[in-house]
Amino acid sequence: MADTDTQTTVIAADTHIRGEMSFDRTAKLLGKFEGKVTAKGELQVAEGAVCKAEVEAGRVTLDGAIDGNVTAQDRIQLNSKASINGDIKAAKLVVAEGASLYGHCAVGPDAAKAASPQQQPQIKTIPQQPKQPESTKQ
Amino acid sequence: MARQGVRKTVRCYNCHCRFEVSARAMSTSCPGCHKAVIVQDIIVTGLKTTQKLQTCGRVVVKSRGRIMAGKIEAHSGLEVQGALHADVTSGGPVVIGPKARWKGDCKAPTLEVHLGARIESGFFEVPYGAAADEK
Repeated sequence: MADTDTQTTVIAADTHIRGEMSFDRTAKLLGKFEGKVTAKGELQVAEGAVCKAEVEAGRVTLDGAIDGNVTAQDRIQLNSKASINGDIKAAKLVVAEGASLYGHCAVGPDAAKAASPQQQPQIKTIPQQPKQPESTKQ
Repeated sequence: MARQGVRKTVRCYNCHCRFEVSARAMSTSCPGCHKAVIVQDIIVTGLKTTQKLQTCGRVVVKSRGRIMAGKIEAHSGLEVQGALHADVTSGGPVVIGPKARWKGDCKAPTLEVHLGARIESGFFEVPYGAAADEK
């Protein structure tokens, strides 16, 4: 039996998907994807693969191209043949020499916090105190 | 006979023409535009604030170095191990070290970012210039 923790979803080279994709573990893109990616785990984009999408993932490892904004809670790794055309937000960034990058960058723990889904502000209702009747002057 | 030392090729930041200078030269007159140009590497070890920093050589910001500039033009590359707050145009590779802090735009032919670097903000254009046309 395959260990569920090490299972990888593979989108093969001759596949073209349009829409929204979400996963919890690891997905490897070898083909073409257009739309939106939301993941807790890792997205791997292989060399030759094309991803025209808004990507929000725990970790992104790139050998291919992403056309869209990329947000990673943990880390974005651009290998030497990687290409990103969009804005980047991540806690950590590793760029190898030769990678191409066009977009705004924000990297660091603060950027990752800003990128994480915002918590709903807790609103406390304070019961209004009844107005005291004005004291009558005598 | 004149002694022939080690020479290096640099590119003028005014007219972009290439010419050879002695590796030990600090500044010279560009044979293309006849303007004075700085050809030495600039190494920043402390705090340096300036409006514009230009050199045909490299700019290196050491781990305890901190540079705050409006614009930096380093035609042979730039390496940051400390803190940088500037808009950078580089003719050579840009290296952002593991403890570096970066704030500003970056135009460079190649970029290398090491794990641990912090980039507060900035628009990155990599590759830029002739390297982008080749790609």
